[in-house]
Amino acid sequence: MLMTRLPARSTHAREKKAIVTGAEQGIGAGLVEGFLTAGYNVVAKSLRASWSLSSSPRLILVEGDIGNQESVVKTVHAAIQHFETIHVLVNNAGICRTKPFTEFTTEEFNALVSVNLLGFLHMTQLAVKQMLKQKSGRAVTITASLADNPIAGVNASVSMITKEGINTVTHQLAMEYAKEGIRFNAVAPRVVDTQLHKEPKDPLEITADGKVSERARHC
Amino acid sequence: MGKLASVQDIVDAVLYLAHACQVTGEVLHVDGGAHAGRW
Repeated sequence: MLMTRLPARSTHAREKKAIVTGAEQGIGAGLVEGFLTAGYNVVAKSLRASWSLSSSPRLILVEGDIGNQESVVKTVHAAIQHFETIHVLVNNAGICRTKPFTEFTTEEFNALVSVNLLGFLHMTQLAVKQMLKQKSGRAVTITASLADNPIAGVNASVSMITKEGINTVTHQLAMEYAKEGIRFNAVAPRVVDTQLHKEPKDPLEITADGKVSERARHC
Repeated sequence: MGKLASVQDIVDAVLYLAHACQVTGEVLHVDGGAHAGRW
């Protein structure tokens, strides 16, 4: 359990508040722990937020599908209700499928767009509305190095439509809101070893080749 | 870099961007240099 040993609050990030999506496992669970350790209060949003996390006065859990606008509204309202401000939004929720380009179905395309793009859109729009009132804020989104740097044999073409979309909108929003004091950045991992968190195997994770852990993820 | 990135490597990058008040519009690759070329 992540919450069994709460670290002492550090001073530099005192009273800061963050929202982390896709919080239930892997990078998301690590982000929740990292932000708590850095002294943030956190609203953690995911399909099954309570699965690996326990709520506390500094950690609010919201369950629901990121692609569902209602659950996104619930998340942002929880942050405002409990913490009054949103300093940082971390858009971590995302899915990735790898298969030959010709085999991607419309349903898979729609699922990728729903989670990776609509989830980003709804969550970030609501957070930015709050950040505009505060006249400051920042959003960090997890994308994928694979979007700009494809690897022969890792067939993620349609998934990367959404990840490259996130890279582009990050550039656009950085300029649109520069004067309002809101920053937009992205982090693009390649392969991340998520074994340390011992989560159940995610069906959306992929294996690239013999050198890569089964639990590693490319995007 | 001869090893996979860890979850902590990604968390460190996100926390950096959360605090770096002069950085915006950036896509920060945390991939052991893979985006820079073959090694």
